[in-house]
Amino acid sequence: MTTSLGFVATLLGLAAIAGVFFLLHRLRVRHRLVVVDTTLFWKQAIEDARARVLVQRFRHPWVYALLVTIGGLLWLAFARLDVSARSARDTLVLLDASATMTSGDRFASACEIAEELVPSLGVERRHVILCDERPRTVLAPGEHARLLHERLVGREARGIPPTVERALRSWLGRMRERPCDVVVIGDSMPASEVLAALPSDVRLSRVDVASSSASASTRASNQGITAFGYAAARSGSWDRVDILAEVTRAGAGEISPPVLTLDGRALGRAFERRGETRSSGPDGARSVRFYLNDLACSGESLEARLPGGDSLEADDKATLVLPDRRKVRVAVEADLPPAIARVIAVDPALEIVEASAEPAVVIRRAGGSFAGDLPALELTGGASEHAFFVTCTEGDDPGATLLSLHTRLGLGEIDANAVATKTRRVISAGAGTGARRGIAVWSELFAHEYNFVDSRAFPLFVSVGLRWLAGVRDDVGAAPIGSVIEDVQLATTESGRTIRTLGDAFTPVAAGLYGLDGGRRVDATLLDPLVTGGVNASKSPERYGAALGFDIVPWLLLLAALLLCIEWVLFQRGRIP
Amino acid sequence: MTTTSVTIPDLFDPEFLASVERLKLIARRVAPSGSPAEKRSKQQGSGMEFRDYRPYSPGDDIKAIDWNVYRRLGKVFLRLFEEQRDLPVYVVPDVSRSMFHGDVPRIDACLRAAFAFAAIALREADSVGVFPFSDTLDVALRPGSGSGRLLRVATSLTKVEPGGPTDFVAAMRRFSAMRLRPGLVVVVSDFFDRNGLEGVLDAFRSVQHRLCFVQLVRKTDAQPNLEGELLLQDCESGHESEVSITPAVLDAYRELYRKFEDGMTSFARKRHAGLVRIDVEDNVVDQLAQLFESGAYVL
Repeated sequence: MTTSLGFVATLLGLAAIAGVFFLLHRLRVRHRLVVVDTTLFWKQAIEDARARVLVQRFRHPWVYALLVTIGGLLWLAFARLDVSARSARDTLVLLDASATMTSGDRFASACEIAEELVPSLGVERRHVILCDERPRTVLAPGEHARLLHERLVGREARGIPPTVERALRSWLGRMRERPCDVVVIGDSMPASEVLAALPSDVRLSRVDVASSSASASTRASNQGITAFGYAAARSGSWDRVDILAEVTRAGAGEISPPVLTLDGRALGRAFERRGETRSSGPDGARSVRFYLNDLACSGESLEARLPGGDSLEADDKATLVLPDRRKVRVAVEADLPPAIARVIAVDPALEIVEASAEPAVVIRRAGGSFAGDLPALELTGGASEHAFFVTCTEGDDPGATLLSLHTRLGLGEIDANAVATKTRRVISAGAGTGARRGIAVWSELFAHEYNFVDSRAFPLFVSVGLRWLAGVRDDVGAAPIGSVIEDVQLATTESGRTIRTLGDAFTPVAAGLYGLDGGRRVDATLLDPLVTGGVNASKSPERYGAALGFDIVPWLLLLAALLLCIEWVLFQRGRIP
Repeated sequence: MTTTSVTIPDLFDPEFLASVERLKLIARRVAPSGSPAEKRSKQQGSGMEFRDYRPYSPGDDIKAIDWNVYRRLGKVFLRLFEEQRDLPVYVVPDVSRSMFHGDVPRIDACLRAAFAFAAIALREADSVGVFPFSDTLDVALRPGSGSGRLLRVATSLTKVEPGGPTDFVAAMRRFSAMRLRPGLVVVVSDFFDRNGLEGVLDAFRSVQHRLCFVQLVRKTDAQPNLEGELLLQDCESGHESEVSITPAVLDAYRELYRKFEDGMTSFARKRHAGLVRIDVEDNVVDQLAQLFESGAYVL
């Protein structure tokens, strides 16, 4: 048995009602005038009755009991007494704010349902979680239901995959103490295997969110892009990629290929349709894959958009950042170790040009002026303090840059102890800032006796080093929301908000373009076949309405009204004062 | 407040008079003055009923000498006869406001009881006077006897008007001041005096007449059927009392009323006075018969 006000508050309220009625009962004096032959005996009788007791006798206890009962019933109705079996269980309300809730006013309707539902739950046993990109508690146990409305003001669904399952897993693992009911308000449901693995004392149900019939019908035939990415061109061209786009349609109807734009300009090429698959789910969603081969890429932003559009806009568009596959032009000073030239020769991303042919990067000995004022990989003499020294431009963090390049350049793969033993010098790496990027390395290290040029790190050092010097972005390109991007410490959203990652891994939780440290970019897109295909909406094991059970509040009000009528009748008959 | 609904035809109702016919006042002693009647007087003289002998003394009426005794005994004795004299009956009905209150006002029973006593007395040639009282005492009909007296008594009784509050002390003081011939004072009242029982008893302690109390009661006097939060208003004084009717208050009331009745009974016994309680909602004469043991009220 629970109430929306909590056990203590309800008891205090009942006590207050009893106390108030007690005072009113004591104060209440409504005398009926009766003319009698004499008041002689009555006056004396009152005095005699008073003299026998210390305090005045409590008058009309049945009237008092009737009033307290009526007041108590009304108070319990106000407190929404719940005597159903549900009252002995915790209730977790998961408010879906994923992509499917963005259509029309569905999320607002879901919020209204939640605000209507919450007051009927025990105040100490209800927990409401807003399942947006980062599921968060919007009403903790013990908090007043009115806070829910305040905390939902301004919230809206976003183009993100469902996080209901994540929230459910987290809550069950951390906070579940008693048998509980999980109520999902929205379309999303956990995966079937998760539902099957729920503890036996956890009941999960879903509340349908009302929507207009037009919206519902549109959702039933929703189509969206469920996969969008690139891969190395099957033709073998290093500077080209093959593009894949998968379009899924929930209901019947023709599946249209997406229209592509490159940095906002029409691409002028169309996808090639290849094959159609049918989902194994009961929804009967169909998917078609479209391919585009040999697309030259130089770091542009590629957008695929479905023509027409539907109620779920979040999956109608997908974007990715193409890799920058332009060759880096490198000018190499003569008389340098030949191992460097061999690496450049086999790397399709690099090409050696003359110093006069507008190179992007130069390789030279330190202190020289070969090829002019360009980012340079310089071979230094033994006088330099650091074996490796990275110079970054103003605005970059030298420490962070060095840390990033340490791995990417493969410096960790160098047998530094052996080199230090042979050179009898400390092998160290340093970083600083300068007018342009630069990497300085001891020239002695290129001798074969130190085993640097023969190590597996050397090609990586040359190739990555030269690309970094040329400013080539090593973009991830595209990432579905929720995927994991490795080696990222900081990420910046389009709005400028900085996200510091944990464990050098970044997971975009909402659609949009993210800037990653090291100059990389990634465009996160929904790309969720479950959302587009409406699979979640059909996985409803139980409608919550059936779980509401017996509502005693109307009966409390009815009983209170009946007692009020009885009191009125007794009052009219003069049986009670 | 209303006047009495009892009319002369009501009082002369044949059935009522027939029931009164069965009743009779018998006085053991009657005051020596007054007119000859059917009551035995302390005075021994010219009556018809022999009572005793006594030796002759000079000055005695020689017609009373019993010569047969003188012939047998040689001594002169006088024959003494018991003189029959009338018993003045002073009917004192209570006409205070409380007597006129209620659905069945006590005044109706009061007048019937007063008229019954008057009828009984006049039937035996006694003199009857009517003295209604409330906070004072009036002379509605001076004591007298005769065949037409009963109509005058009835007329005077039906003309009574509601008076003020009950004040036995003032009323009896005025009654005593009249210096009437000793007789029987029949007080018909509810005996609700603003001074309580003590006021009633104090008033009658100084009365030199024989007393007969006719207490007019209702069942609700002893067992009130009131409940709830009440503002009780005294119909005579207008005094208001807030009362919460609780079992304790009811118990206290009943105890006080019982003491009141016991006080009246005790006083009547001490004064060798008659006391009869008449329920105003029942037949008056039938209840008066309780007082007239075997049809006669022996004083």
